[in-house]
Amino acid sequence: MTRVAGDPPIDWDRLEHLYAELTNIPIAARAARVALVGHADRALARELGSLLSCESRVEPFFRELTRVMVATAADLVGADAP
Amino acid sequence: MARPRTLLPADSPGADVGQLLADMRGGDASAIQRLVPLVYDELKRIARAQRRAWADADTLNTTALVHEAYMKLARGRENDWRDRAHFLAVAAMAMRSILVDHARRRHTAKYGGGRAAVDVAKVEALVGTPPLAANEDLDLMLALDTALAQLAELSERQSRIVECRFFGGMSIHETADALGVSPASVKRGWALAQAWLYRELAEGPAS
Repeated sequence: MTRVAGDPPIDWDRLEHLYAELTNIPIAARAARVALVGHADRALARELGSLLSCESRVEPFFRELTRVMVATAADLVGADAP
Repeated sequence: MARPRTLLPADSPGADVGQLLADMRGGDASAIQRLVPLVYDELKRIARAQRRAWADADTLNTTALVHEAYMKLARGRENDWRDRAHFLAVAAMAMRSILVDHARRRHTAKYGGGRAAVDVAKVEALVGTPPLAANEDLDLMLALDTALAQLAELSERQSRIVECRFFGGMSIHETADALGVSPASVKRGWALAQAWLYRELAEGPAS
């Protein structure tokens, strides 16, 4: 979590739009854009920067998560076998 | 997520899935609560019948499973794409319940009763390494369910998107139809939800 005590609630729709926008621009250009967001809303910029820093690890993680789901499903039907 | 309480037995005269889907589409929020247990039971029945295929699968063929459940439950309404879209979303919700309930039962059997102590602090280090041990699989399924409930507090739509895409195996367009939002909204929500879930799970339970 990147929230700091006293931070206002994050505008989740705006965060969603910004995340989509920034993941579609070169990595080198992202920091400047996050800094710009930070001028108006520091909490939003912190959250955005934190999530962007995870981007490269998301896909392998969800692959592993899918494997876990399949393993759970296989275990479930195996356990239910008469 | 606890197993949905069955409010109507599947063979009761009142358990008309087609009518429940129509009610749901008409804005009756209680229809979904009556639908999920029916779909839950049907999915489990079909999964048991297909267990050989599941046991050997690299991916979960949720689409075929859900399609079969829809054909059985929504007799006479198979060609209504709006019903099908809503059914898919309900099936994704039921699939989440089925898998999480199973993980919880397994966890309780291994470690005793009480709330599962989920330790997922190692998740980040485990990405790209050999598969997790079975007990870590259980922890991860339970942690994902908890994180999804937290995500729903921030964005109900994003949580539903994850259910549809991850547990229901639905495409961007199917998810958009089911949730009544645009495909662009689904793409954006899915991207942010994945990043958020990764961070929450990798960092452990949020404080």
